[in-house]
Amino acid sequence: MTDELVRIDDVSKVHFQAGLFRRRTRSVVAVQNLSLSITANTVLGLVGESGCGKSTLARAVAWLDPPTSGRVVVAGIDPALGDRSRMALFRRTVQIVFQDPYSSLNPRCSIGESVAEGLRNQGVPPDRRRREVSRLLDMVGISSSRTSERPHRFSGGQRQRIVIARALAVQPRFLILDEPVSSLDVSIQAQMVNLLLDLKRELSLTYLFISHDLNLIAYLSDEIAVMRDGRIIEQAPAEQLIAAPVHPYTRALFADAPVLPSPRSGSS
Amino acid sequence: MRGDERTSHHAVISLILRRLGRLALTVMLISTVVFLTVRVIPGDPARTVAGMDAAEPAVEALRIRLGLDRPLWRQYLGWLWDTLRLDFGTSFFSQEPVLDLILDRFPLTALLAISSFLVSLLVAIPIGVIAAVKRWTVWDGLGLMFAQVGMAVPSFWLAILLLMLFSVRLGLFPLFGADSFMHWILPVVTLATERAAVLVRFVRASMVEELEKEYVLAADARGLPHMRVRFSHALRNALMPVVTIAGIQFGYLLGGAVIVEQVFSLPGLGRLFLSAIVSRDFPVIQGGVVFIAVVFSLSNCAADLVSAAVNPRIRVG
Repeated sequence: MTDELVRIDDVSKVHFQAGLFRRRTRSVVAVQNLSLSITANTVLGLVGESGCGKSTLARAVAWLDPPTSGRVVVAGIDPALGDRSRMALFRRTVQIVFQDPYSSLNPRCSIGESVAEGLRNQGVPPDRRRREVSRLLDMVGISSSRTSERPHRFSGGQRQRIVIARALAVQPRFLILDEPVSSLDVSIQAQMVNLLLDLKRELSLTYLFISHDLNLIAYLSDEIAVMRDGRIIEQAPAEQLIAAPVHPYTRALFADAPVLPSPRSGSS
Repeated sequence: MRGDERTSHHAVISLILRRLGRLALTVMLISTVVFLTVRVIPGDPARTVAGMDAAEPAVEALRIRLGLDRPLWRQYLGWLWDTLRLDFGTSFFSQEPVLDLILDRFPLTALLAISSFLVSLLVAIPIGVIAAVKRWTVWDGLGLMFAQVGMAVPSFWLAILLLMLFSVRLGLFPLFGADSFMHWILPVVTLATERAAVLVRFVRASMVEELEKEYVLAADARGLPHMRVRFSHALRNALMPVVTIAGIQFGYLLGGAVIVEQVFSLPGLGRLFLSAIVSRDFPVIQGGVVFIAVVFSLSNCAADLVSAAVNPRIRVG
């Protein structure tokens, strides 16, 4: 394994249905003994039907809802070891972008405040913070003259750009993108995907791109993993998986949705 | 930005106008219902005023003097016309103007309601927030239990219980009256408990909903301090719907005050209305209901204005 940035090792996530006073009544296994490895500066596309545990995996890897068992190591940092500085470093290294751009921004904060908060938390002084916020918003294509406006004045696509700028503020190396364009118009989706690819190249980021949209996954992934019922059933380089899917479920998925030829095939 | 400001002013003004229109309609409907109700329930005010052993001609004369001999629709129109001119008539018994009677007792009830309101907020917000932040823990269980018990316990019973324990048994608080600060504590506790119990559930639900939103998760993912995310981000958004609910709750406090004033012998609106109902003092009952309806509607309107003011979509800036 050369240049491995992310290692997800035997991760399981069990949801407990809790009652009053934490009476555990029923449990649901959302992710089961799942292992993945992501090479630095690549995009791993994770595809699967809704309910297969994709989002649970995303939150477990981001350590927002830590896994029940298993390890996550990003750039050599294991958040489970649990000391404060290691956790802070992990938070700076790993960022997550969610599907819904409407609930992803605090309606009460101006977009500038939202982007700046991660910087403030790292102790960046105010004047440098302001410059940095303008630069980040510029980078995602939002006019920096609008920093003092609140989220409700922006469209869904613009909000998702702001969310990305906010995530980039802490200078992460690994970005988990949980259906980042699924709630946007198709025309905007293409712009967003290209923006993400540009950012990846400029900032040498690594993506875990989660989607149920095969075309999208095929378009921007270097490697594709197919998830079903909490497990990875097939994982291969993008061209190989599209050209010759092995698992019957993968074949069925591709049969349902004809995949357009990727503009990137041949380039890598 | 300037355009935004203008729109928001327009929104506020039209909100106030719409609310005032609705207020007039509400008062009109309520007063009609009350007017009819007091005349349908058995009991003859003329007989009560004259005394049980008065002769029938005397009672009849009194009936004519009080205007109760006229047909119902004429009584109604007459009363409506007077009400529109803010003339609520005079009490059948004391002959005092109804408005004076009400305004005389309103400060006490208002003070009781406002202090109970503040106490209930001071109790409910921390309990609800802790329950939400520590969801599925013992703290949450205790918070929910408080809400459950507080809602299930009738306030008159709680009032009597508190009186028996703290005033009779322990002698810590005076039994009745409204002469000192100590007199206020038990009535306020009684009234606030019930309201706080209802509010706890709202605060908790609203906070839980907010905590599950993605901006909170994203803030955690950026490594912002745990408590700052909860209190400076989530709480402020979670309290928005609570403002509206609290406004409606304030109206209920006026109703609750009737019972509590009775138990603690506080000379407020509640006791005035209760004795008016018992003695069939029509003008006082009618005037009182209109008055309460207006206060209730105004407090709801105020809550709407406050929630509009704290709504980031309307707020200027």
